[in-house]
Amino acid sequence: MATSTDRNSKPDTVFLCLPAAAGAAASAIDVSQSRTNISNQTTYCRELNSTRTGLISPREISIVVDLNNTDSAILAEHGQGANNANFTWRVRVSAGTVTIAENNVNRLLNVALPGVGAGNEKFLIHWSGRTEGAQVRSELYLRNLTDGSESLTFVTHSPPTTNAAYGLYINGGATAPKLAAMTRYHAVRIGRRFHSVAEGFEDWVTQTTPPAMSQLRRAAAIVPDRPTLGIGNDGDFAGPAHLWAGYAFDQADRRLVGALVNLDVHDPAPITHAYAAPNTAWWRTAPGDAAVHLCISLLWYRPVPGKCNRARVRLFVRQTCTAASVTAEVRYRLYSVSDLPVIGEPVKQPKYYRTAQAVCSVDHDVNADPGEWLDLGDLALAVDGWSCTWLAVGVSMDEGSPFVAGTVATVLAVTIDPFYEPPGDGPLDSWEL
Amino acid sequence: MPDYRKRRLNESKSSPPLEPLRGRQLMRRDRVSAIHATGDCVLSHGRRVLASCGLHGGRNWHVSDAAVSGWSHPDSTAERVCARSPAFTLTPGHFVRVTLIANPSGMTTVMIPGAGYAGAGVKGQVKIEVTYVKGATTKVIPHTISIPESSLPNGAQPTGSGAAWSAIYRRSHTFFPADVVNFVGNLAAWVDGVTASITISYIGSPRVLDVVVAEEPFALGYDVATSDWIAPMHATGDGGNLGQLTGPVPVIRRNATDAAGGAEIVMDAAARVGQETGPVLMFASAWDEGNQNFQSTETDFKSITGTAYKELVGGVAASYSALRAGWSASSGANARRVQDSEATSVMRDKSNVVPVTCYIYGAMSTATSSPTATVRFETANHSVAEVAIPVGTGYAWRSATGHLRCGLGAQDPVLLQVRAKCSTASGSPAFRWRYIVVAYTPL
Repeated sequence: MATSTDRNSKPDTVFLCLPAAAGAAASAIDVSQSRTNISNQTTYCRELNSTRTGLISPREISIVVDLNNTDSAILAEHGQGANNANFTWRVRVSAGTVTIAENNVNRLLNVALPGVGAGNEKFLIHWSGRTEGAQVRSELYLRNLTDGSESLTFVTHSPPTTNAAYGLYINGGATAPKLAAMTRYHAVRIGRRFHSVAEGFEDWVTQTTPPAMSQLRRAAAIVPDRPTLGIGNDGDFAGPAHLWAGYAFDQADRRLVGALVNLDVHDPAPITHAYAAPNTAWWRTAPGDAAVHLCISLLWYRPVPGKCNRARVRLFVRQTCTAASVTAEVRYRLYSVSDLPVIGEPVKQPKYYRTAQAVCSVDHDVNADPGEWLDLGDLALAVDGWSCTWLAVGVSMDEGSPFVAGTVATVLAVTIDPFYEPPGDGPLDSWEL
Repeated sequence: MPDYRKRRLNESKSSPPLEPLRGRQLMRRDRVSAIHATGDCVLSHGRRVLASCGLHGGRNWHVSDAAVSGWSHPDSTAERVCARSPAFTLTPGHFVRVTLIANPSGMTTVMIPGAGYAGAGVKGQVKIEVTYVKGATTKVIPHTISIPESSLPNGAQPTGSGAAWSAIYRRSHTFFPADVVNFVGNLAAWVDGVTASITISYIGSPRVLDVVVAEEPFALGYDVATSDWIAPMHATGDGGNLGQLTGPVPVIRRNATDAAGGAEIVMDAAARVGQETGPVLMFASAWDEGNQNFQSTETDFKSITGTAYKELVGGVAASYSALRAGWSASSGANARRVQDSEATSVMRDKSNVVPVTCYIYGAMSTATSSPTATVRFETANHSVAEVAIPVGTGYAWRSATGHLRCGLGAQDPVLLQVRAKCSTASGSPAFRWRYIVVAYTPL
């Protein structure tokens, strides 16, 4: 019996087998924290009276198995282990189509296995459901782990009823249709929590590699549970309750921060090196740099969440050039300004910060590209007395380029996401600007 | 007479540091007090954008600089909706604030019976209407902001190099459902479990650069006799810090009728605030300043046709791609919850997931052939919420819940795209939309 806990054994997991194509004996070994093996029946595995897997909602079922387009089998079920018998839930495959069903006959979804063919290929079947009012919302994610094709389907349905006398069956049952060999199974997991498809993807497909980050990050903390942390009885300690609560508050800090600007532009203003469209009134030079131009169309005045001192800026731009297959070099920055002069209010000395410049000289017409994202990096935020900041896109072009006259740039999307960076960390401290 | 506690959220905090609580420190009263005070400060930083509109990258104003000729300029009194939202639950202690910047307003017209349209002078207003609902009580609060007129002929926009930058007005207004400023009882009645829906309309010819409606932290207030507080409320009745806890030893609660000051409220509040997700992840309007028909009383719809998925703004038929334009979902990471995104075993600190309701205000172009549509909100091919659009040409909010991947934070870009397709090509139907909202929902 395995003694290590697999990464895919989670606190909600009630059964996990990882036979990895080793057959029925391996499929019967429960490597979840339950450590309760099921019965090896040579051509299938079962656990009679399996109350632990007779789950209704929320519930998660993941199966990794080799399949082809002629297979017909009940891959897993909580039921009676026979073809026409009763069940709480069932996952079946027939001629390249996966059927998920509940309550004996209620077929919830029939979905073709993506990319299934005559030969065996490894598939992930990830079915998870959560309660939504009186109904259950089920998500069925099928992924061909061999070629990467996938499908995601949804259904809202009534919750099933369960029966404590039903068993857990993997690969049918004595009289149920089954795969010819249990070596086709790689993993089966059943859990009592809703698992998002994104979580299933992390578990069974590939684990994301996040970028290096300098921002202050918080964890999704396990929240304090009052019944287990009483301090009113003899022998109770006051410390854990307060420390856990303090930790949870600490991690909840800055949890309500949203984007400053999150915009997909419908019909973007064209930018040329004349900086005159639709008229020169819309354009001015940037503070501290006469080569950079700001357009009133790309100006926002946004409230800044407290406890944030930076923002990550990305622009989606598209450039064309009538004279060549490249454009002149177009340089983009984003400015955060406080106390920009406005009519009828006392004039104050504006303060500004700006991002590093991102450069693009691609003619996106050449390959009919929709454009590209430019990451302008981190922007220090200059916040005024209204707790707001002016945000403006700055543009300059390489005036020495022979293509500058024909270059037209457009900004199709802008995302500015604030965050907090502890002092002294990262590349954008104020004295470095 | 009820006994209230109030904690102001709209002023800078100097909460006692939690640092002394870390390892190998003796438990002391001042440190326990620090936990209570810190818990009160967690929600003091809101300001999530709920709705917005404006020039927003557009190539021109929808208000003409030319002389009046028939119905050539917006009507001087008609309200034209440019943004609206469904009702969503506000963060406790937060109300709604609008902030606006604009250039001088333009010329308007008026219908004169028997004589047609004629010039009606230079005028521009923005009307924001916030509908608060708490239980069975509804408060509809309209507020109209007038933007000064252009002094140029025909109410034209500023002329001359950089002139638009020298002619900016800004305005702000906070919407309170009652006199929560002077009476803590009103604050307690409206501080928690309040929904807000928002409508932004233009009247006349405003030249709005940016109008944004956002949450604004104000204050928490609770009746001592109630429960389920979002914060420990280690505060006085008029908003101040209570200082150190009064007793020399930790207690469960202050007394039988006052939950504050004890271990139970600090645990309950910590548990609740860790589940707080907040109102809105993303808002978008189809308002297209340069192409908007000023005669329409609602944002002109954008539409897609065909039975293959197309991205809603770009109209491109393609699958989800982080290499195409879209919106950011990265800020969703701030609203992570332990059951979806716990960092050791659930998502392993490689990503986060947030529960949301995805809304789209839309309709089908025709009922012929009974077409429907499907709208997908995606932050990856495997991270999708799917909204079903039924048969019918009447606009309504359609929605579906889901869990969307959102990365680890601002420095981990995650793109949100919205795509749609029609169920049939028969009858050449189109799916039309006006507004999109992704709102957090504690599923």
